[in-house]
Amino acid sequence: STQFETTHPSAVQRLSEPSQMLKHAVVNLINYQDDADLATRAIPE
Amino acid sequence: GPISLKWDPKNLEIRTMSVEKTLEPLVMQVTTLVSTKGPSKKKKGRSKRAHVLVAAVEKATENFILQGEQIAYENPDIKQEMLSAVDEVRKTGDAMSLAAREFAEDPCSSMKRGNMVRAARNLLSAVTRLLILADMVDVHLLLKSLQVVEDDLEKVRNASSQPELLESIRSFGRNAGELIAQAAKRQQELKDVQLRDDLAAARAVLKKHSTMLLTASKVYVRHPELAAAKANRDYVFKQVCEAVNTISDVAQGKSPAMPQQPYDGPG
Repeated sequence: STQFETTHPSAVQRLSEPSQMLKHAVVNLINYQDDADLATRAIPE
Repeated sequence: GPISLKWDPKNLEIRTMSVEKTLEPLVMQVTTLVSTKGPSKKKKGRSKRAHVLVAAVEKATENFILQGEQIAYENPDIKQEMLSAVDEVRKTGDAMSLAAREFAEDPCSSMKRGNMVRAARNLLSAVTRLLILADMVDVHLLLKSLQVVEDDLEKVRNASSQPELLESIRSFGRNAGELIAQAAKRQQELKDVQLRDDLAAARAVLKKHSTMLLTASKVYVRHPELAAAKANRDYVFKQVCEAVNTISDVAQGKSPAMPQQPYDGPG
């Protein structure tokens, strides 16, 4: 049979999504830059 | 005997597409993070949004750790190695959390950003190591399944009565089916085309000869005095064993010792 079983994901497959999510979260944080400025502009003294 | 796992944390060879697919962006990120652009010229300020982003990183780290721990506890043979890799993720995650919080308090500080980037790189490296270890867990499970089938084969070979033979063949059929399914999963994931083909051929041989093994063994057990019955049983047996060995070799990243010849020999 050439069919592949998909019911039991492998250990790697199970870690794949959480690792991608973590990477995205890290990248978002590292790329964070502008909000501080935006905030000071939005609320003038 | 017990299956030994050669786990060398320094050996970061990536053999499967799943790991590669998961790691490629990660590894790239780890590299580019180091050369991130210089200090921001923006004014000092705090941001609620930065804190939200920090919380997201902390949550994602926690999720990853939980999943890693779960896999560790499901695989007692590799539990210690897994847990120590998980620990490394936790340790680097805590350092990242600390650096990220300091950065969120003062997002315009290039020093704090730099600290955070370094912490992020360490965290993602630890994640990478855990992913590669997870791949070894998958290989280990496949090898365990192989060992069960090898034990079954030994019982089939030594069976001296029909009931004994039927019992061992039943067990072999069940476990070989499981092995074929696991090998299929591995086949789908392997990067190396040659290894993938070898695995496909071995699965086909195993499947085809499993049924023949029953028929040939039945005749042999009934008529052990017939040379032809023995030759036929031995031939089928050899084919099955070679297929099992091929799966074992491929699982461990070795090229199979002998190519399979599924359409050769008596039948």
